[in-house]
Amino acid sequence: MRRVLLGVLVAMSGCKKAQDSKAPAPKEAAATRLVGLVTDIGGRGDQSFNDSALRGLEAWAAGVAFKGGAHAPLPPAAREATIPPELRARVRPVAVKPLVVQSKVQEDYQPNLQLVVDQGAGLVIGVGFALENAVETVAKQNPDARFLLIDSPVLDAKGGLLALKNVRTVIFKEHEGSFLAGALAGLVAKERVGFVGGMEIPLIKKFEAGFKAGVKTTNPSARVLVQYTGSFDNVQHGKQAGADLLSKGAEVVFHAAGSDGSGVIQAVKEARAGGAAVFAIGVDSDQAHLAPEAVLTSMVKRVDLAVWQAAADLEAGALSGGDVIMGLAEGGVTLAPVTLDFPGKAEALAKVEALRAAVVSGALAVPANDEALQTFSPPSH
Amino acid sequence: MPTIALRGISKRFGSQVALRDVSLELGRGERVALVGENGAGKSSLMNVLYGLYAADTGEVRVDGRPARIRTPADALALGIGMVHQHFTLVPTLTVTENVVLGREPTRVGQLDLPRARAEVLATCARFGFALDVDARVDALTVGSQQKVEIVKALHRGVSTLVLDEPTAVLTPQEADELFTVTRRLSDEGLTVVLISHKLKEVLAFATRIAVMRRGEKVAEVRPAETTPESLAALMVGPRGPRPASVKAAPGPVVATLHRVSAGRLREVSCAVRAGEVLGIAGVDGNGQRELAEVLTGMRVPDDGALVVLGQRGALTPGRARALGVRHVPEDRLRHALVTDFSVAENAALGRHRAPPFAAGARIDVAGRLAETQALLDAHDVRPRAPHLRAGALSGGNQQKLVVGRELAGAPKLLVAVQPTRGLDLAAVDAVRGRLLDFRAGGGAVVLVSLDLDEVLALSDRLLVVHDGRVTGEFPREAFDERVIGRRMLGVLDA
Amino acid sequence: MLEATPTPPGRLRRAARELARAALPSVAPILTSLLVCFVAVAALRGGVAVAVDAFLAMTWGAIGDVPRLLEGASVAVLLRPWGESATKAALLTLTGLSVAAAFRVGLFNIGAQGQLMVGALAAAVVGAAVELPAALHGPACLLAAALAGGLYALGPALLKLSRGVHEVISTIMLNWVAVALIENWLVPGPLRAQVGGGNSVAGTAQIHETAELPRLVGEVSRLNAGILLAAGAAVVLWLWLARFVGGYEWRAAGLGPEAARAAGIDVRRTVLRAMLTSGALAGLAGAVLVLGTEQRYPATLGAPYGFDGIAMALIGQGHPLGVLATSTLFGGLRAGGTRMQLFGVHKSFPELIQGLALLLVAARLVWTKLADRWLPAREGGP
Repeated sequence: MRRVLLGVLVAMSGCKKAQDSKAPAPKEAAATRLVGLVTDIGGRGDQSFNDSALRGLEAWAAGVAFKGGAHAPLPPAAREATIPPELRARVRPVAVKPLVVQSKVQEDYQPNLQLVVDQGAGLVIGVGFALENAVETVAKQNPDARFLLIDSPVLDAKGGLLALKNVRTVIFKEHEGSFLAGALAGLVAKERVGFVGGMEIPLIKKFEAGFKAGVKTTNPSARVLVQYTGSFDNVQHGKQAGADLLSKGAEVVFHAAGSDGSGVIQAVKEARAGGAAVFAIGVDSDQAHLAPEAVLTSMVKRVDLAVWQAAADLEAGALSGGDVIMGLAEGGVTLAPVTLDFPGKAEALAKVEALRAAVVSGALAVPANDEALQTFSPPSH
Repeated sequence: MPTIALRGISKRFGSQVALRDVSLELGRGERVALVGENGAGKSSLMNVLYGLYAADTGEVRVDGRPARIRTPADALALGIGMVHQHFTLVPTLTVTENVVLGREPTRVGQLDLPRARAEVLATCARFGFALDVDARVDALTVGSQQKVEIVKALHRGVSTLVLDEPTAVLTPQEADELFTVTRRLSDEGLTVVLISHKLKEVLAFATRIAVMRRGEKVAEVRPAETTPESLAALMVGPRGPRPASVKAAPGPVVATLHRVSAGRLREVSCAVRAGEVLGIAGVDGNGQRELAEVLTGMRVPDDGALVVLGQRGALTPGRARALGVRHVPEDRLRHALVTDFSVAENAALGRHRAPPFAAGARIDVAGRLAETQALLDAHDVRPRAPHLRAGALSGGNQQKLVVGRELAGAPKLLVAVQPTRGLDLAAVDAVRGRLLDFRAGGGAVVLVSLDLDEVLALSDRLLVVHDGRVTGEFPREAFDERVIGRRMLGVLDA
Repeated sequence: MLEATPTPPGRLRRAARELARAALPSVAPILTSLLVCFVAVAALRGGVAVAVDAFLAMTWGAIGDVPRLLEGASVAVLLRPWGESATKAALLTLTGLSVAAAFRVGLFNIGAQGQLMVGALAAAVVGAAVELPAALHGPACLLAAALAGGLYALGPALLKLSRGVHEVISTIMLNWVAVALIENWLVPGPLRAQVGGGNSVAGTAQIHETAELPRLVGEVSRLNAGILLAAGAAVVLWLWLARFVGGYEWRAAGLGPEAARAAGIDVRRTVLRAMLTSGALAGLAGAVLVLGTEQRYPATLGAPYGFDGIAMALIGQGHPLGVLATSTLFGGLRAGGTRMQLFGVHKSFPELIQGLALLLVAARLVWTKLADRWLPAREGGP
């Protein structure tokens, strides 16, 4: 009997824990429109992609916060604080109500999207390229529902682009943001900079190409040391790779390695504690909070902005289908504010801003892969 | 005046009498040997003294006062220690740690290792043991491990030390050393009880010898007054009249061993004939188990030639079965029955691939049930419940099931090891009757038993094994318990 | 004491009683855990009404949205949940059978997850790289998956028999080898889908349509032949164990290896065959995932169905039909459980119910005691 009792207690505590991340419970679309969002298996609290998308929908658009298991209104000032200064004027509240469904496993994507459609959502957001197949299938089965797919186009079986009228897809020019990160790294470092990638796939190669081009632009003599961890979910791998590059003399290390990146930042933080003047550059969202003294900046993908934009377009009746590509010009990628001090900071930031302007104006084309990088010649100053 | 007196101790295990009204006195500084056959009650008596068994009747007195000994801790508190055949040391701990285990000197709740080490060193020095107290026990030889056991007992301040078959695992040199040390300890006042069936060492070591037979103390003698032969005769005792038995009609040879070695079995040669019971007599652990395993294919011989029912060379259990060899193993719960199977499923075991148990690749459930019913009826297995879990049967009915199953299907050679161990009298008679019926029908039986009465009663021919070798072969006409008893103990000259 | 031949109705009643006795140690823990979790939701989510709503949502999500059907919605509201429940039930059944098969010969196969992964990969590769008519392509993929899973399980079995390496250790390590080999190297590396136009997709190339498991009710639901495969496997394994000489030898080898050896059963070969079967079943689970719903080996498989299989085997008491029943129930709970998120219940709630049930099954002695009290066994067995 004691074992049974123990079991009950364990279960109770488990249930209590389950309660902490309670999902919203609206069943019918009220006066405000219902916008559904299906996370990938990373889910709420991933400090990255899913959280960014949730911020765009919950804080920026709906003006609510997910707290204590339910959505509660967010005071305007607190909402404002979640929006970067340059976007505050643009990102206004939208009359929508969020409905978030998290996915446990890969094959839950499709039923979860369908579930949200069945709840009457005017817009269904699929967060992450992993939902590409599921969004395609559900969009075809529900031609009246509208979808937003983040970070991937809809592809056919052969990998060609597939146009669906009721699906908007958003992809980002990661190479452009990485270019600025590389430019800043080249200005901060003297001889060597490092790049840690996760899996060696084309998406991550885009980061690498842009970053290398940036370094080449501001510090042509500097060497870029590159290492891939082979994973996105192993902090230890990242820490090893980071420590490895630091030991080879890297002064600034940029990572595009998902959760492995926390390990990279950790390695830089420890090296700094040991007296080395080294920096890390984060990715996806502003990762300064992981190690304020070590993170120089982060290459931010504005997933939140893409999500907010779709919600705003829905409200305005302007939600178009098709592929949206967001680069520096569209505010889809950017650098997080640089708060750390280093010698020559003002000139360096000015130089980076000039490069941003060049890219935005179209005067400078940033290479997105190895081949383009070979032929890339930095603008002369 | 004796320091310890056991008075009228009796102990039963179920229907088996282990000890019947045994009294024994132990005086200070005495070296008392307890001798007897396996199961004579030597160890049981000492387990009562050491608090491992509770006696049904009788009492233990220490220094004249009645003592309540319910656990080994009680015994130790009274100065009684025991070293078992199987050591109770923790192999990964050091000698010091093992010796102090259970009564460690502590400092602030922590083991005070330096103090423990000093204490153990002192004990070793006082009693003259040369031991590396820092060595891990698993790095020591068996002889040294035994010394650790003895030091452990002495360290607890025992005044009486029981050694249960201490030389069984020792080399002759180690045994000599053990006796030298123990003799000196007893000269200093330690009372020593030696359990053994090695008559030579008993005669050399003991100051008094108590002989036990079938739970009773039958004699108490001084070494100077006896000989190995008379001791063996006392141990074996007078035998009752043998059951009348049809005269054997030995047929052709069904199995031959030529210089076969396997485990403890060393270069044994023998032949088994159809229509006879070949008994194997010997003290436990002298190779008879290996002999049975070789014949049934359970063990591949290390060396030698084996011919079983016309097949030469290595056997597997399956091959042996196919040839007509059947096996009633010593440990029926492990080797003969699947206790979680039903009675019917167990009845099929070994014959499960052929009709009536199988129809092609499928189990013939109806055929199996009918066959099982018939088996239960024929061998009076109770209850007649084919679906009952075999583990739920009583031991005797389990054995009747096993014997019945193994004798079904016209086998040619039956190897039976301890077939009646632990059974009540009715079951014993039933099982023995089946074996004799089988032999009367022309079957060959190899009967291994530690119960000499049983071997003498059933065998047409008898092999005595000692230390893995055949030390005697007797036709039924020449059975002489005294000679056989001596051969079992390795005493070759009459 | 004597076996009377019971009249048919008496026999039937007795059989039902025996079934109840046998199932109680599984059913009681499941019901208890459901009850406990219901109380927990009611207590922590704002009342019984919410809990009722949440559990009803789970139920409709599992067996089909009957209320909406009655309101006149299309039959899809019934068929879609069936598809999801059946998919999960098929995966759980196959991995559960995998664990149960090994269990029967006395091995604890913790490696169903790794075997599932290699099976999934084999199915994905054969499904995409080979071109065959539909009648052959699906079976070829299934065969490849079963072989891959089986061979992956054979290693630990051989290690156990030749070197005495404990199968729990070796299979658990091979799980990590599978992750490293497949998800960290093959899938993102050599086997990654090659697509044109600078687009990148995750996972291996999409399998041909000929390789997909047939959908049973058209495109409206993902209900596919996987559940038939799983149920068939359960029945076959049950018949094998209960009715065939070979299955009898498995059970003998598992329950009494020494006695089995003495009875002439080649225990080594039996163990190898059972482990091969165990791995093949887990491999088939991988194939059902790839051929049924994913159409490719995704970037990461994510779902630990191989480990869930252990729970299914234990809650189902190692009986193939018990595993099928347990897996069908939990497949439904999991498919439907995602809907509980609408009522603020965490996405992992079905797993919580499962874990609690497993914990309670471990207290088996309590249930058998209860069974003895409520449904005392008749003397002389069934």
